[in-house]
Amino acid sequence: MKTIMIVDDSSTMRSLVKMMLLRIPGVVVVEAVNGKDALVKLRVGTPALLVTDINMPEMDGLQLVEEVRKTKSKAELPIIIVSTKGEEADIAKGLGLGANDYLPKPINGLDLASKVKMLMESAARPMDSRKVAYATTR
Amino acid sequence: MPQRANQVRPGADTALDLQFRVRELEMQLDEMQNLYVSSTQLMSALDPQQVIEVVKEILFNLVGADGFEIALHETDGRFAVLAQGEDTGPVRPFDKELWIQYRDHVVATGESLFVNLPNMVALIPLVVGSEVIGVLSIFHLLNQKSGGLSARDVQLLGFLASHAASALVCASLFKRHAEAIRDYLQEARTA
Repeated sequence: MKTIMIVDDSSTMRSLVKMMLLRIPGVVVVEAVNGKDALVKLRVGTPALLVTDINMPEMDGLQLVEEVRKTKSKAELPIIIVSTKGEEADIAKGLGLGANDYLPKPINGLDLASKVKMLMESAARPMDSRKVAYATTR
Repeated sequence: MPQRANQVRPGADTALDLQFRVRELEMQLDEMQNLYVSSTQLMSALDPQQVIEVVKEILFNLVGADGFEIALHETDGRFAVLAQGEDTGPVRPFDKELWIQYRDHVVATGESLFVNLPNMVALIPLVVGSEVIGVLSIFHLLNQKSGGLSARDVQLLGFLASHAASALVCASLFKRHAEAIRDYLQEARTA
């Protein structure tokens, strides 16, 4: 079983994303209500992937990405940002901070699931083969 | 006999059809899941304000609307605004007079109106039984949603409006009854 952490302050959004992700076989979902809560839960265990919103109280999604990337043991954790902020500058900022992908809202379950599957498969491959795959897709 | 350049091998059409059908079914499942979650969230809200919050979340996250208004039609014919889109600030319709006419038309007919004007996209009635209790108006979509509302959005909006209307009425009744019971118990304790 692979664990995916969803970070969003809206319970409606968490439920929607959870339903979308549970269609992927072998996935379980852990929820966090903001960046701070996510960091606390990340101390207990590292999920296979993290999906986060940006606008949240206490600690937003961008701060969370920064904090996760500072932690050595979580540096390779695949992160997807899902946000209403869909301008190119917003996407560049999210990716620049270390997120692996950025999905502007409104989200589509099929797109999210395919990105999640792709990132988890990529993370499961040894580092060298990941580099090769990246080089061949450019 | 020369082979046609675009000739496909036997079975390829079937495989493509199957792929297309699988994709279609996945999309339908996705829509049904969204409807299920939306319905569950709306029906589990016990306070009208909670219902409004859920509607706002669905509009933002699934429809991509950031300029909207939810207004209840009161018995004196006026409208009580319950919520407006947050990201665009107060809603300023393209033409207020025209918008009022459209809104009155939606209340009178109970039918949704989708108009192709700048800053005005859709007006959907909030219907309970045969009564129109309000109107959900969408004025603006997120910039990344440049293609406008899709058929899927229209379907979701219709569903959202009907469930939101029922949820609003149920939550209002629940709140009123809970308050009445609380007052009654308080009186009984002090008597």
